[in-house]
Amino acid sequence: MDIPARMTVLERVPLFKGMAPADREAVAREAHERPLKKGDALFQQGEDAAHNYVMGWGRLRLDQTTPDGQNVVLRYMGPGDLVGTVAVLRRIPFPATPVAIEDSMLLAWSAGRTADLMTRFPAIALNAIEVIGGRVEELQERLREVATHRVERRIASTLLRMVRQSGRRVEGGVEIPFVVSRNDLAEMTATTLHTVSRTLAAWEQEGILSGKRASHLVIAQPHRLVEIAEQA
Amino acid sequence: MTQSEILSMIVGDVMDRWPETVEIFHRRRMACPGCAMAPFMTVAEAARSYDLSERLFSEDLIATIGASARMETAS
Repeated sequence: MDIPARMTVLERVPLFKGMAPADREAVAREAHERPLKKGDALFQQGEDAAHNYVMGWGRLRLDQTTPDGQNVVLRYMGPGDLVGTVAVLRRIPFPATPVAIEDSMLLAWSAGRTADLMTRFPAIALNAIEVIGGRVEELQERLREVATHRVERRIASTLLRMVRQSGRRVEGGVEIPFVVSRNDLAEMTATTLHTVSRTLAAWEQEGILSGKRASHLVIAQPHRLVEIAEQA
Repeated sequence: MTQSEILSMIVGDVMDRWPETVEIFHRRRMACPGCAMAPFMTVAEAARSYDLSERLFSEDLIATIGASARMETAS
């Protein structure tokens, strides 16, 4: 990517909101590019947080391995998302492993460069608080769901979050444009694979979900899914 | 603005462009404001989801949009 292409990427990223074009250009110049092929890990959980990343395009799945060896999908990340920022700012090892589920491109700044940019351009630091605050809110929401909602409602809410982040209108409904396995959904909603399979099969039978498009989930009756997510 | 024009518009775009319409959705206890699906569904689809008359619902939206347009012109 040349500098104008990088700037186009950065324009859409909430971290650089409200910056003067000249300042954004400086940030773009100081980035380096990190292309990932589908299946590549950006870094490994436990590594020193040497770089802070912003997603230009593509999609990542954030995996965490528990101390007893179980894998958990924490979330999916798409264009504009920050990757590794919290670990860099807190000077702790990366807490999870981002794996590319599509060919992806990230812009990277070293930990030192990130701190330097935040000092030179305080807007970046303020935006970072806002972005990370949004992430905390989402986690609180998910925690509340796990504590208080029935499992169908949690699965519906998780699908709606994916729609909000990256949904796409297609013939016959709204598509989640990447592969979400039943196992991933089970990990994200704190339930079993069996329960996710049973729930999705029931929704397919009711016509809420339609036959998959290139193994992507298509929500054929968006309103019904919203009702399930919001039912008391 | 005709009924068929507003019915084919995306719900999220309608609320973005004319925030005063949010109240119309609320009044009918529709979950559209803030909904993840609002950027993808048309006004007609939303009306059908809630078993509303497309005609009455679109008339109400047009009246609200028209009223605020007149106020802007007057001020």
